[in-house]
Amino acid sequence: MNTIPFNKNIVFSVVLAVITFAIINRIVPPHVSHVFDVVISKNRSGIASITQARDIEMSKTVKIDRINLAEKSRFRHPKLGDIGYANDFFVDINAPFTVKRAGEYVFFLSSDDGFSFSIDDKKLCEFAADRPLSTDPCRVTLTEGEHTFKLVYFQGGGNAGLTMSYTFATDGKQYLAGDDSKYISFSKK
Amino acid sequence: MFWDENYHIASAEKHVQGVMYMEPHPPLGKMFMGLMEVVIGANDKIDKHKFLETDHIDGADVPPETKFTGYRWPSVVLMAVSVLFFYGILRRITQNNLLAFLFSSFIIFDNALVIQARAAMLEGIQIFFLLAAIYYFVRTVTKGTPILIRDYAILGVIIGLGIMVKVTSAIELLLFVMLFGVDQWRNIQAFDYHEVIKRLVVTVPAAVVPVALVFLCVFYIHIGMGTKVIAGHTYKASPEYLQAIQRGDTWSLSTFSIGLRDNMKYMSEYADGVPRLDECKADENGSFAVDWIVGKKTINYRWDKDTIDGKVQVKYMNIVANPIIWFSVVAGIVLSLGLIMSKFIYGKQEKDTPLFYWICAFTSLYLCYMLTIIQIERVMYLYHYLLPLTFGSINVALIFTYIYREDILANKKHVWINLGLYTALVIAVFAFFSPFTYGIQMTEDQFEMRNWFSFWKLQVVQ
Repeated sequence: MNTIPFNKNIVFSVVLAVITFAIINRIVPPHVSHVFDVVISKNRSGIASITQARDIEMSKTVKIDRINLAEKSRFRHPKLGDIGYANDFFVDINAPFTVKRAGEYVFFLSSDDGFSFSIDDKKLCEFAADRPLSTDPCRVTLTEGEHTFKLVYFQGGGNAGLTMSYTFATDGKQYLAGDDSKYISFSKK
Repeated sequence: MFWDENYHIASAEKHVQGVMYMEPHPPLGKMFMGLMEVVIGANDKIDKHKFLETDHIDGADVPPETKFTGYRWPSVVLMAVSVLFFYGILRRITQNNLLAFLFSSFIIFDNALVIQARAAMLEGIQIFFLLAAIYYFVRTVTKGTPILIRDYAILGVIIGLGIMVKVTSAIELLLFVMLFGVDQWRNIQAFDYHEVIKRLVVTVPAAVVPVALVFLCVFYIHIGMGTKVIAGHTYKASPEYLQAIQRGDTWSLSTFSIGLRDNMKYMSEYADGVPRLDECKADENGSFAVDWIVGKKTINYRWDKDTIDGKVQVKYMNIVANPIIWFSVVAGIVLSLGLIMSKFIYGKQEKDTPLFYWICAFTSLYLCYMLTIIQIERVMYLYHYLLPLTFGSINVALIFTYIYREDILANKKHVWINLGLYTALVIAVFAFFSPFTYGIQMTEDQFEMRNWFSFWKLQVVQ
């Protein structure tokens, strides 16, 4: 009777390879596409307002794909984990985007603590002080073509988080900042 | 200091300064710690009187310049020597130096073993006597000469020393049964019960008396050395015992008799007072014995939090499994049981009879320990698995040798490449988890990178 060839060494090699692959897959640091440069600046003193004079101790730039930084009630990216500091830091995001269809847009800014949001150097909305995670809708009419937004955020102490999404007013479907749609696209770097 | 170090160092110092104490564990481990504290003398100029006034040292009791080198020395060094026994056991059974060498990585590079062994805890010392006993047993069986009464006696001494470090070492008493089985195998097969019983009459005392003598000697020294009583710390000692200490009569046989009785009573009452496992308790560190096989539940012995460059960094001292080793041990036991069943249930002839019976022996030790420990009602901890893990680690090497017997004998490259990669994986995973073992600072993300299984219940410090 013919038997199926069975090489125990190959089986063990395969088992080792599978385990090694699983471990590498588990421990390799996460990577996301580069859409936004997020400049995070640690302040020496406590921060109570977005307009407060900055006294920067150190800064770092983190590359992220979407502005969805409110995991576990902290300034945390779903894949990259904690990207901020423990407390008292400012965040600056300046990024170009392309409007494909002119019209009224709503940008939803959720922040804990405060934020300030501008497009083409025109301030659209702001919450200057501490607060729990809350959302502000910022309405703006945009023409077709290139624009630039500027988002400033601060975290004082306690819980933290920042998200930004947008919708074309007559559509109603929300997209995270960083996700391209038929209305807006963000340039990948 | 962390976990039981706080207790053991307090007890060891009582040996150093001749203070009477009682404890749930037998005293030999602490005697070694005390001895090395004296020999090394790292704290000769330090006032350690507070160690004597408590059974659990708090940070405030420890002068800042205190060094724990002496207290930790026995565990560290004896565990290191244990590796030689482990290697020797495998070498004698498999007759293959390289295989024994590579599988010795299981005892060297297990994170849980290392964190216990580098502390002033009992497991490193206990495993030394465990592996010494197994080595002597294997040597006796494989040396090719008849088993002598002396062999039972020497094994009894080693096992007795192990039990006097921690009573869970009593599992080693099974080695006597195995030794007797090998000794009388022909008579057992021939149903010559007359000869078997005749031999039993001689070997039982030869084995048990040394165990008992070691027990009595260790307690005799322990009681004899306890020449002072600290006010308020009488450990429920009887008035007669306390009077004997006051008279300075601690080395007499009558005091020994009273002291031993009081020590046994204290150990028994202490054991009765240990709570049961309560998994509903938020800070429960204990776990079910059956969960240990997959590394559940880890214990965060100690942590130190710091904020560096605005990021929280934490040094953890955490008992955590090397999952390659622990899961291999489980796989080894499953494969062994399959092999044993294939012979005894399905009647399949084994391809290497001595190796088959060695596998039976170590699988039995593993299972007997686990079955025994499951019966214990008091709360138990992950490090109570280190003994069966040691049996299981030996068993992995043996089952590997059994499965790849022909290829090993033929010296096939593929089997050695596989084994080399396997060993490399063990070492790499040990290194990866070593921040938990050596208290190396980690961010929360680095912690999460190592939090492989939710059932381990690793707890991040934020």
